Amino acid sequence: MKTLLTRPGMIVSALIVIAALALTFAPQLFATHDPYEGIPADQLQPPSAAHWFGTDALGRDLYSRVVYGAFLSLATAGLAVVVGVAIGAVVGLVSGFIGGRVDFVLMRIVDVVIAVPSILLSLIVVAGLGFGAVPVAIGVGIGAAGSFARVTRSQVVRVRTAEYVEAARSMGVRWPAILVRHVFPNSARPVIALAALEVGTAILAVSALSFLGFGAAPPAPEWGALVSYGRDFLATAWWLSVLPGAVILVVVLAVNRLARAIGGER
Amino acid sequence: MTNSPRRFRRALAPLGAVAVISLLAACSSGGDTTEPAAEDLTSARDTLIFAIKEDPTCIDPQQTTLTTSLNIGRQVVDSLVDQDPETGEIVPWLATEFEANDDLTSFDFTLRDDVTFSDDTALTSDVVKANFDALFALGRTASLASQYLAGYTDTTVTDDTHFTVNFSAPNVVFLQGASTMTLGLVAEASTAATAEERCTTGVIGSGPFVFDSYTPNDSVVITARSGYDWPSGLREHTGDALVSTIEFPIITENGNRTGGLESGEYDIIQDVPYIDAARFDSDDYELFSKANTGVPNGLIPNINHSAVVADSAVRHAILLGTDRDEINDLTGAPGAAAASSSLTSSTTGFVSQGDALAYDPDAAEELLDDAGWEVGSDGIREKDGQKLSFVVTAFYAQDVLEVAQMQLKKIGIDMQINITDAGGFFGAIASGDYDFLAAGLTRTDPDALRTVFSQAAASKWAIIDDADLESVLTEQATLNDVDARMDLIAQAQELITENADFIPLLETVQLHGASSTIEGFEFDSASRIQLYDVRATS
Amino acid sequence: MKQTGDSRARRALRFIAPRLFQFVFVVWAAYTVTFLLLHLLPGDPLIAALSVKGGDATPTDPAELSELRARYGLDGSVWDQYVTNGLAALRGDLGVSIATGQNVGDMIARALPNTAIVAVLALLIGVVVSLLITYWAFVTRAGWLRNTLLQIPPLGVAIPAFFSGLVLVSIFAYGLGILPSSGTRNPLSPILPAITLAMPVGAIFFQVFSAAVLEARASSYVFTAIAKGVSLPTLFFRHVLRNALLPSITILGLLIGYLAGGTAVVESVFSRDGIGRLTVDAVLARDSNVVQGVVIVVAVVYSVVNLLVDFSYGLTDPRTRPAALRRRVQDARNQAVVER
Repeated sequence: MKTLLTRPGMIVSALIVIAALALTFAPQLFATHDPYEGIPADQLQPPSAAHWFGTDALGRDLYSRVVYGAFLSLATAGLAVVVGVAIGAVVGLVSGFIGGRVDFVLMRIVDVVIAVPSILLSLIVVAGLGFGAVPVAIGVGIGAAGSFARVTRSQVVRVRTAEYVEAARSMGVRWPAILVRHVFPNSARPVIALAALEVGTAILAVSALSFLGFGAAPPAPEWGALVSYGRDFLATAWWLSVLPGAVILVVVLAVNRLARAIGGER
Repeated sequence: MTNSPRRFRRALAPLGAVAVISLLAACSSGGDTTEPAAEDLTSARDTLIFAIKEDPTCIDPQQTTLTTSLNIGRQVVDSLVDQDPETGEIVPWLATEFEANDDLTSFDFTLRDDVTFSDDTALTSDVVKANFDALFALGRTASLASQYLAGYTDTTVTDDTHFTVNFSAPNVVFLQGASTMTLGLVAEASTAATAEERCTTGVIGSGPFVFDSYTPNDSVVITARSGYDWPSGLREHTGDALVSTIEFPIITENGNRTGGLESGEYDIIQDVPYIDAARFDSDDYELFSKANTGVPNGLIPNINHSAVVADSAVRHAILLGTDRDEINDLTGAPGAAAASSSLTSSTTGFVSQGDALAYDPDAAEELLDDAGWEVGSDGIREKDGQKLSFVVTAFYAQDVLEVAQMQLKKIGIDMQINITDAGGFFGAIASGDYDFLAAGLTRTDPDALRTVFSQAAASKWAIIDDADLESVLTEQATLNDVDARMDLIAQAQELITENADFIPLLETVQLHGASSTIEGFEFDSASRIQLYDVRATS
Repeated sequence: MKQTGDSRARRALRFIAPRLFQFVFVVWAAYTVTFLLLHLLPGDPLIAALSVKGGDATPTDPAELSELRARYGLDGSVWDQYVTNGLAALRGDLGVSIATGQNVGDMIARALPNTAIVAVLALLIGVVVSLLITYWAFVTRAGWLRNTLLQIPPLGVAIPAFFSGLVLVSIFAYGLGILPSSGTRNPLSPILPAITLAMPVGAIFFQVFSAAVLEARASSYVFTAIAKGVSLPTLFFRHVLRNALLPSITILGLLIGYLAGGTAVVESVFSRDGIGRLTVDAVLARDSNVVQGVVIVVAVVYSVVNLLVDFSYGLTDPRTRPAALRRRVQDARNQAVVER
């Protein structure tokens, strides 16, 4: 806690993340306009007091769209991490716990998943499941599952051979109980640290896929889709891509900063 | 100047005639392409860079349906006939004379005898026969050609320059199709090649340019052929093309193309985003625009998929509740006309339904009220627990749909947009799994209506229940009498509006940009590009 | 003499064999995983691919479609296709793209150089800039400057490539007009894409490299050396650099995968032909043969690079355990440098 207060960067990051979460769960408190309703007369206005981030070609308020887009971008990224952790944790637990041939085979498969670039893997999944926020989340999650499996396994192996587990085992405690009481809590920490870091990566991956056109259906204001939409207006309305892009950058920076702190506090 | 073949032809053309198939004027002026050009046209530069927006994928003009690819293929192959983009008149090109029989089942042609392909083989009736036979055998692999050749039985060769193309049923689109690059002629060697080979290495044509290279996803290069002397009379000059090389780099980002035009990287760019038109509205640039012909972009219903769509009151309300003028202002090209029928205003036979289509949200709401659709707590109407909601499946023009979505929301209609890829779109059609499609169909002939709305058409786009329309569409396709046929086309448009079988949204305009030093850039009747006369001034 | 030669050969074999096995396994499994994903998930590859060429005249009539399906050999059982395609791939035949009719091997061979030049350039820029910044952070005596410099990689990791690409192209191509914006025509065209890609890639390298360097800076031998009057630059180049580069090289294999993925976005932003765009287009067209070909090629490249890294380690220092080290480095990336 003391370290937190002595670092202004950390405080700013925390505030940004809190703000982003607030936007995600209560956008109506922050938006100044209806994100879907355009005023044609206000087409393509630069940032001003009335429209903080300017307006798009249909006269929609960009700031409000970014606010409402937070849910799509961040919840999709969150879901991706949950998917990644869930798959990774199961594989890692099974692999580390059972060991032997199962471990060998599972870890080789994990090698493969890591060998295929995660965006490529996500693309393949999205191609199969169809476009949209949930397929993108699953795709990104599967892309990230390899690292989680590996970290989980190494923790499980470490804990399993630890003295207190051996002791519990010799006292006749059954494996499921050991799993729940010792292995889970003691191996969770690094996984959580990695998951925190993965949030930033997932936000980037989700917005990249949306940018490429695989994301949520229009007119959903997903952040990557907003940047993508603004591409055609770079010369005439710079704010349409630059401001949502800057928002992604700031949020990812803040999330990563906090995540490193979580990892570093070990 | 007065002897310019171009002027000559314009003078002959019946003014304002809806003469798509005016065969009467056909035989009058064969061979006038040998007249010398009135002025000596030259280009200040030998190589032009024309940035295109997408990979042509298949560079064989006979197989592809992609505008980008057709635009390039047009420079490499010549056609039997040409079509005047202003009058719709079919004029001679490689065929000096042509005539159809009364029920449109056989077409006689007379060929020029001095035409050679770029592999130095001569154009003869046998080569034409080989072209049509091979193309028909390709079937749906060449989907556009197979529509032009529907019912093809054979080609009867009389001698080297005379032949007859025969059909088992009336074919109203063949002659116009013969003016497109889709039925452009290739050398016998190309007709024997496999479909895949022709896609990747191109074809041998008789046009002013030949394929030099095609690097998929990267670029296409065409070079001028020497000794070319058989342009259609619609062109400005005769002899070889004016530039020796045209490079087509594939630049998929709109911003990259417009930026590259500004920085001088590119001489011509395909598809200037409408929003950038104002940027290039200066002396340094020139914009070329032409409205697509055929069916405008709009909502095409499937009444079997959803009770909401099947409800005629709902479709009428959508028709009245969409403001086409606003859609055009926000998402259309500057100066373009708002959509006002099931054909675009540039299509032969177009009859404006503007009065019936005028924006009237009050009337739309009244229609819905009367039909029992009550406004719910969330502002969306509902009836018997059913929300007034439907999904529109599309793979382009998202902004157009977003405006319509905003407009419909105001009268309590929830329109969802499902933007998919081309594969998803046609997959939806194949499985019949859609409420509305949103798309246009680019065809020069008003028979495009039949492709979209006829229940007997192989394309299966609109699923509607409209027996009157069906019989009108079927009948017009058998008529050689232009006036009688256009009456039916007008009737079809009225019926479509009356039953709200189609909700027009936007007339798409081809908008290309070039540096002001570029001259001679022309559109043909199908809004494709002719580069034979293109040149750079210093 | 003979005996030692023998045992050396045996040791080499023991070193090589599992790696070769791993290599084969990765490629086979990459093929299998992709195949299953593409073929067991819903979606009709035929219509998707046909529509690329067919446009608004794409056939949708069921009878026509089943006829075409037979023509493209998409009508056999999944197992048949798996075996046939797998055997063909072994012979180096990656099949034909349904969408374009082109040979998949040719398509990849054509796109690969464009991607490779950007990737290599990005790697070079990333590594050189990382070296410079690390050097600066190493020699400076100002703690605040060092801390600031070390904040650069988190920034590089957090910038979305599509965003930095757009900004770069706006400034250097449209604003200043000194670099080409797009395409592959101009020999200078790889520069902007490479810089875009260098940011995240360089940042990852930087994290591993600077961690090693700064660890060395805090060690006792450096402390002693400084006390003896050895200058910091000398120290950096004579001792620290070499030791820190070694683990950093290990990360190269990992970066290859990252580069291959990053190009998908960068090649779209800069309208370049390359592996990334090829993949995006193929996925859009559900052109399973092309996607599969790309995955196989990327897996082979990844495996070859890792093999080479392993061998170079094995040759220079038999005691090092590259596999373990690489894993450690990978975890280090995952944790994106735990704050020190």
